Amino acid sequence: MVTFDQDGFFAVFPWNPQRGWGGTEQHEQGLESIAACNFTIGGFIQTEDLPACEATGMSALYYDPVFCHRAQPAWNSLSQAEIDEVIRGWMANGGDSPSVYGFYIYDEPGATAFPGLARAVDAVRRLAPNKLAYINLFPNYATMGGEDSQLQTETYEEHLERFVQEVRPQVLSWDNYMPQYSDDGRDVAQMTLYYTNLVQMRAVAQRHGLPYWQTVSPSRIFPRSAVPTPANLAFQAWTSLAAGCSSVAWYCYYDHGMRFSPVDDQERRNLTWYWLAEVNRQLALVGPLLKAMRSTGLYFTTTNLTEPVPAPPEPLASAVSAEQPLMLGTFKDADGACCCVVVNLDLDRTAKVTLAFPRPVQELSLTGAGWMERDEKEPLCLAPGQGGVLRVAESC
Amino acid sequence: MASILDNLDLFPILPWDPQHGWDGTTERRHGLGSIAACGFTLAGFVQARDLATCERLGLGAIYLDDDNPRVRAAQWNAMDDAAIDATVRRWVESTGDSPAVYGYYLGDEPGAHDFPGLARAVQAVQRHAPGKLAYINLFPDYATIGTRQLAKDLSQLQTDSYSEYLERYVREVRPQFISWDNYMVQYSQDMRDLEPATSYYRNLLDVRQVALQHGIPFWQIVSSNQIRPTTTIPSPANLLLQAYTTLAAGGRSVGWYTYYARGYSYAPIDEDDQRSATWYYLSEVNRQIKELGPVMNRLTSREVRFSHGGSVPGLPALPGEVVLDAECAEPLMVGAFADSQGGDYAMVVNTSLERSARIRLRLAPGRSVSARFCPAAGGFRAMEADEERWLTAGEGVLLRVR
Repeated sequence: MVTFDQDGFFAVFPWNPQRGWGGTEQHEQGLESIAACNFTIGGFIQTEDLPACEATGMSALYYDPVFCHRAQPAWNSLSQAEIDEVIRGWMANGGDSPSVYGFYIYDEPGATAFPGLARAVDAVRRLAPNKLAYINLFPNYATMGGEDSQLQTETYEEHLERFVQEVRPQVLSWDNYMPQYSDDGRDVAQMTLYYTNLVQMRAVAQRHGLPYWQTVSPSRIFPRSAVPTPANLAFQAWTSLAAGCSSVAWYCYYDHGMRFSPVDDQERRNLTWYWLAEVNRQLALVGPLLKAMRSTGLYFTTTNLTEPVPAPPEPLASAVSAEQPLMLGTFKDADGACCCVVVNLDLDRTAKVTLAFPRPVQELSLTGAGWMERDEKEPLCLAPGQGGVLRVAESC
Repeated sequence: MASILDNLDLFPILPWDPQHGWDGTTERRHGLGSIAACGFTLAGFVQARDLATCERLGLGAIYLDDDNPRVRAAQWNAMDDAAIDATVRRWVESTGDSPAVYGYYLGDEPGAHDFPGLARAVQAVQRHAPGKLAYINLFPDYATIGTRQLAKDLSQLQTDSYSEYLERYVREVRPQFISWDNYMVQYSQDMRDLEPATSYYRNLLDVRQVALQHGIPFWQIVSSNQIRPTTTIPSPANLLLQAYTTLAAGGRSVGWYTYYARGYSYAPIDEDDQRSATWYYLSEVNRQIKELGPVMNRLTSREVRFSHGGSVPGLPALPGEVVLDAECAEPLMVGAFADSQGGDYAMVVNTSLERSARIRLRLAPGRSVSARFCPAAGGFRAMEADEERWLTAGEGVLLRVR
């Protein structure tokens, strides 16, 4: 079991309530299946799921289907004392279990919900130390401007800033499904929103010293969007890693009418399950290593986007090049070593990345064998959406 | 004596590697246990000391001479019948009655001059190990061709055409099956270079035609590494494509060259004797073939067609007997099959290595797709009339037609 503030743990979780938002569903592909798919957190669970969590060794986020009333509970209508009672009740009802990583608080709040959420986060901090008050935010393509909008702020930046200042969260979590909506990046304007959301969230989170968690999709999110593929699953995971995210969540594990989810509407694993298991394996391997480092830069070698994104500075720009567009995430570890996560952003074609660093470069084995020496003359080949981690200097 | 090829529950998925190297001395950190974990059903070319492990892991195996692991297709011509008999008898004694033994390795990529010796070696295996396979792998269609004096030393096939090579091989060697290797998916840079891409499909269809004509199965060896420093690397898409196109053509085995690095980058087991990302991709592809294989073993390949004339020119186009047309933005390969009761099946493969394909098939009047095989959960699943079918890049699906 792990706690929210534990080092060396990277949260990978299915963005699903194990028993549905109403709390009464049963899944044949339950927590054991989730553990087998290499998730590190079991999603949103109820008290009765705690024994299964313990059996699988997975932590989970506690969800109260009665109070949370289908994902968006009315925190604003409760006083601090009443909210404290809710959290105390959760703790008494299994929420104090070591298997409980945190508590599900809210999904996609508008800014008018912030005061109640602030009280809920405060209560979790005081009454459930080391546990997370989990709130997930809208993406940057939510409607904005006025109280009738989703964000209820004039801009996305204002939404994020106000959320941080007013709610004082422990993490910034958001969802973005533009890789699917954009039909695997063929709609450039939509795909740009995926990248800019990462950039925006990273900037706000780093400014406030907060971890940031991205929720992406292993499903066909709506009937005309792209289906999950080995390439777009890898892409979503690796772009999250390169940006310095501390968690990746997948919406969703179960079908929920979306089709092509890892578990189908007949409670059977489908091919997405198997490809996702491999991507999750890589996340669980690489995530803790990067989480222990400081994300120092996030760059894009492509200019074929509808909004500007940061281009790599020299000498990095000259040291990493490819015909395909790349994302470059730079990191610095506690000993001062510099690493670079390179992601092939092309979802169609393999990238041959030419490396021209002034010093020898090591590559992280994706099978747990640690850092491997690289032949400088060999290009780094990355399948569509795939990433790799390079240690480019002992100190920088 | 029934042939081992009649075991319909086993679909051979073979790592094309000598387990202990061609000198027989290499010991692997990732040995047979790793091969079984990667979803293979046959070990590669093993020696007698490996057979107990193969049995324990449920792997079949192709035996490679303990005393002379560098078995060459050319060696048999130089041996008289008695010497060939003695060699094969020694192999059979070495392997005892191990149920793991699937066959015996006789050689790789023979020229036509090697056929007489190989014919005698095949007969010896059939005499001394009835029911077991005499394993020989042939050249692809991009091997050098020619019989004229000038080309004598340069010609790999030693015939004037690839068709002649295949025909002579079957008539002269009388093999139990045809195996060949083709790495043009890699050489063509994921099928973007049209000429080598054409070779991949042409070779598959040529071998299929000769094999069906002579009533023997065919096995394809494809690549799971970066076959040359300038070629593309293994990806989920190109591994899927190689496996599913073999199945759609009616192939009875998929071999992967190579499992170990042996100088090739991006192999499943790398130069440092570690699993690479390819290992994980390949294990998933092998898992799918392993599920599908026993079903495919029970079907008879009837025809192969391509939508829009295929991804390369000159391929047989739809309409076919069962599938008349396909509404799909990406090129498709459609293999038609029948079961022993006359039931119809179609294996449809998205031959784009770049894009997912949404497919809508137009079938012969009165026909409809009743079920699709789920390699994830195993077994057929009934399909609704309006159910959408998507295939990711390189992926295939087996459909049962009502």
